[in-house]
Amino acid sequence: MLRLIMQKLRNKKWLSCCLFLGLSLLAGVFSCHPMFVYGSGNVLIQNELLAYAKEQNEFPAVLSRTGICSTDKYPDSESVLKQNRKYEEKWMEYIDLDPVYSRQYLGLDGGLAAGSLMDTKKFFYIGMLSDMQEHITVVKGQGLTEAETKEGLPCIVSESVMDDYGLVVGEELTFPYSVDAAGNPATFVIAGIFRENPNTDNYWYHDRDFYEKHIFVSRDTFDKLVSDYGFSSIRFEENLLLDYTGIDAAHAQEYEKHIEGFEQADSAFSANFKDTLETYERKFQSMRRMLWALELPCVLLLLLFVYMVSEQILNSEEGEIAVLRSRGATKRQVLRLYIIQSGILAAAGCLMGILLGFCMCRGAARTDAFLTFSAKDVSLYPFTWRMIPYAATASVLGILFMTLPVWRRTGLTIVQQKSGRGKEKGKPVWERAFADVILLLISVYLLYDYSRQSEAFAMKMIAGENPEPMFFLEAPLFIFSCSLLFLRLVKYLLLFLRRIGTKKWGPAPYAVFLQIGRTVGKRSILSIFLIMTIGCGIFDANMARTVNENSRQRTAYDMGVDLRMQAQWTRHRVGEAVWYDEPDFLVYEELIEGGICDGVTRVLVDDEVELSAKSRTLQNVTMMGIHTREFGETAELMEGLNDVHWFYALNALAGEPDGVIISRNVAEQCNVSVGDTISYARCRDTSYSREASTETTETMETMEATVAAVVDSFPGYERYEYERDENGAMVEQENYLLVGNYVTIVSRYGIMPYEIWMRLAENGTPEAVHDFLTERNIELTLWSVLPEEQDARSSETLFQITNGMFTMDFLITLMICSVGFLIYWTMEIQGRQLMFGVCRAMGMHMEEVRMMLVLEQLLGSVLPMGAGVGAGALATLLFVRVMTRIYLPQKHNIPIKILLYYPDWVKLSGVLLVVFLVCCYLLKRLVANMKISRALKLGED
Amino acid sequence: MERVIYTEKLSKSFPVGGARVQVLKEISMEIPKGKLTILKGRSGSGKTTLLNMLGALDEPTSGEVIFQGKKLSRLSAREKENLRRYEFGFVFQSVALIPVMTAYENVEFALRLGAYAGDRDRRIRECLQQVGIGKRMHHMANQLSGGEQQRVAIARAMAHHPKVIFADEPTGALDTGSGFAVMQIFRELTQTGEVTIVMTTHDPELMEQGDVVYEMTDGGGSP
Repeated sequence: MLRLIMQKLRNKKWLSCCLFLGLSLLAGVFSCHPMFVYGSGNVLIQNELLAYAKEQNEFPAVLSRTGICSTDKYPDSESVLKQNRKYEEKWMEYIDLDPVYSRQYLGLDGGLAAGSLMDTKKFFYIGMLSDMQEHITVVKGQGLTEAETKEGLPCIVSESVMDDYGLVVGEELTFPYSVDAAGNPATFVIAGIFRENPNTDNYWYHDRDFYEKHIFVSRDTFDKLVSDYGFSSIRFEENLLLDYTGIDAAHAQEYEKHIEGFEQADSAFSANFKDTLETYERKFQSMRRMLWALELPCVLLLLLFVYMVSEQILNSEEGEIAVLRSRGATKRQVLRLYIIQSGILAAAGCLMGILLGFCMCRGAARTDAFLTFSAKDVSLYPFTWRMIPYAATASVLGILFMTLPVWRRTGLTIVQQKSGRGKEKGKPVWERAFADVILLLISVYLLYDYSRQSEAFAMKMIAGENPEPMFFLEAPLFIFSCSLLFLRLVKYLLLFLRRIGTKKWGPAPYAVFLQIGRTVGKRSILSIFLIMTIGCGIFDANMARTVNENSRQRTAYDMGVDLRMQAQWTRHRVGEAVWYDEPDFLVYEELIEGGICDGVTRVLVDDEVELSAKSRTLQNVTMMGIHTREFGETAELMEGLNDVHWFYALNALAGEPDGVIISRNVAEQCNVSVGDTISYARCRDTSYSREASTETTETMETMEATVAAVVDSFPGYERYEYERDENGAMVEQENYLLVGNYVTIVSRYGIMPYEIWMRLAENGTPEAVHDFLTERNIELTLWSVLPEEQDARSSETLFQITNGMFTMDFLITLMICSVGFLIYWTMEIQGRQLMFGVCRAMGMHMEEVRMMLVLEQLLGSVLPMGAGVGAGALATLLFVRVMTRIYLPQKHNIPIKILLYYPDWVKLSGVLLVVFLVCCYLLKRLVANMKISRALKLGED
Repeated sequence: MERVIYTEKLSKSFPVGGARVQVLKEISMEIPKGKLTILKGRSGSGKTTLLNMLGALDEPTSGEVIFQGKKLSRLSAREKENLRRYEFGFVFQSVALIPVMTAYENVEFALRLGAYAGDRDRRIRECLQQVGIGKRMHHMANQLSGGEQQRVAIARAMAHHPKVIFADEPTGALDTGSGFAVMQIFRELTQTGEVTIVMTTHDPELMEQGDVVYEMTDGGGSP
């Protein structure tokens, strides 16, 4: 039997190769899934951790113990530290991540202290940090290790504490309520002022505010305080910083479980990344389902391809099967033969598929946008053993679809096969049941339903949930229903075309109209295949392009310029008075002279401004102070977002020193227009209360201004913002904009930190700007580059998955469509050799036969291709805008615009056109090489 | 007897492996006009090959086929196609109707091919009536029995008023009754004297129905 099977495969080697291709791709797509899921999971967890770090301004993976221990049980620092170390060792047994740093904080509640130079007593904590000296820079005085004081215990304070309390080196702090055995209060001398090492030092994983109101002492001093001054308790905080880059999708759930276990066993334990892991797990599961939804159309097309090729093979082997059955072979025996044959191909396909799946996953991970690849690091997408069972499952499915056509044929006797009674007669089931209409209505209803609830879904997306996977199947369902509708209607179209020229058609068109019109059912799978491939290909392309382009445009709008930065400003404070040292701005002109930038401008941005007009007061006002000309030369704004070009607004502002540009919502809310007077006020520098975790502000002096212009959009103005309320629900907040002249604002409120906006020259790069700043030792507190922001957006998990899957699906369906198309027509024409022989025998000229072939191609293939383009375009217009909200759920100044990127259509159609032309050429050669007598003999055989 | 086609030392050989197999050996014969000529012989005797030569479906290795004074070897491919289109008709053993067409449409196809100038519908009905398929003319080809299909094939072959109808084993796939019915139609067609029919068969009972019988043995023919 094996020899027979190998012989059969050799005899139909091209078809067998096509089947092998289909099976390999099927196994590839299946096996790619777990690798891509876990790879995307790795990216997702890293993104979540980094987002946490950015949001909370702290290291994202820290295991901590905080608590208070009694000095009766723990009389010194060593006893507390030793206890904490034991816990650390326990944690490391379960969570096998590399430790980055282990930091211990011990504290004492110092109390109110009187300073030798302070007017009033202030509250201080006394703290000790392990290895502190290695992570600070002493800016004044001495550090703890070298500090020597004649009287009092040496301590150091941070620059911010020094500023807040107005402390100086050498000042004495006395804690009257902490006394030793002799009744002497604890007295400290400020030996030095320190600055924490820059943000890149993981040691300072907490926000700086955490350490406010602290004086820091050495370990010896700490122990002395505990032993001599009767402190009854020691506060401790142990932080074990873990290498979060080691947290991967495969272990995240395990870590979450261990963390829960630690929490249950130890009430002092906490992990700052527990919530991140929980959020990640939820998103990960949702993402898995979404990935299946994105892959499903491709999988179905591949299964259809396998079925179609098998059908082609079995069409030519029908006689053989009937002969086997007539010679006594049972259905089971025949089926077994084909199952073994399919199994051989499927096994080979499985092995190849695993390799293909690996390449597909890495390829998909490298996409930056639709059909755009980059040399990204894809090490987060490693090979996983899970690929093997997935590939095996695909192979089993492939065997099923390959043997499905066999089952029907094993029921045919030789007599039935000869008489053709095995062929299906009448309308197919789907046509009788009006499945096309029903599915069309379902998909349209789903679209309507989603549109109705789009706001609610958008808020869910903003809250961090992943979309319902079914959304991604709506458009393919619509395209599929269009393909069925096409099959229903094309017969009438062909009948109409035949009838309108019935007296005039020559023999070739006459034969073709009848051939095509009466074999619609036979070609239904190919037609559906073509329409689905092209329709879904166009839809995927338009969807991906629309999402990516709108995302890029929105990011560009939000940035407002190529590069935004802010240098480190030195702040001074005496009492309530605060002032800043302005860094040299003129140095940036060298960037323009050096050809790195085309424009550099100062932009004062303050998002805590109050605006009042006509008895209405607005909060959430963002104020920008600009130099109008420089700003106009530097910033960027898309056309069409305002009624008139935004330069008109700038000109109006330039003509009015006390003028302001306001956003449309301000004008509507306050019922003001150009020429009206409004007033606005900045809020005083905030102070943060650690105990209350609140910020306190107060409004500064009010300024009056005349409305110079009203705009809908402005560079950097984000009208909508989203945040959680007290109940945790996501709420939309509308922001207002006020733009004034920089000079006017500064003259009233004084110099304050501003951003520097830069427009890069054609050959300028952010790296060149960064090098420039580094050479001049300019430290930055803000650095934001437009291409990086856009790339970061496109690297977000949802975008990455979509770009990757759509690209992969597009390329695979293009490949199988081309191959399927070629083999279908080659087999079809080969199977009709007798008919062509008869036509030639009857005197049909060669060019008439060629015309028949071309007409058949046009009506049988190009027509469905056209239907596919139409279905894809219609699906784009109906679904893309609505579905883009999944990716860009926030309301924005820039409405979603559908991008019909015709080069993709040209690529897709171009490839198929080339295949079509190759097919025509091959068929012409096939027919041209056909000898009439041999064709007739074949028919007789 | 007037001859419509005749051959002069017609030979045909095919390459098989490294050697050449001589199928026809210098056959010189005449096909009389308006008669039913039967080429008889066992399987492999070269009757189909000879028929293909006569019908301009294939080219001889040497020798000539002359139709109405014209040597076929001197005709271009297009001229031969026109010959088959307007002057000849063919009936094949495998019937070879176009399966997606009805009986009516199969005959109509032949008329369109032959650029029939008259009333196509009338001619189609006439031909199908003549072969006894009048009541089933709008049935699809695969809905007809083997005998009925062959009769439609005959109607197709004769519809455009050809001068010669070539029939290769037309009754080979039919039962005896159907076979005789086909022969009956051929006899009726030749009665007018305008249509010449050349057919091959290995059925000895049918041979008696021919006006002229050539026996093919080992590539040679003799009356």
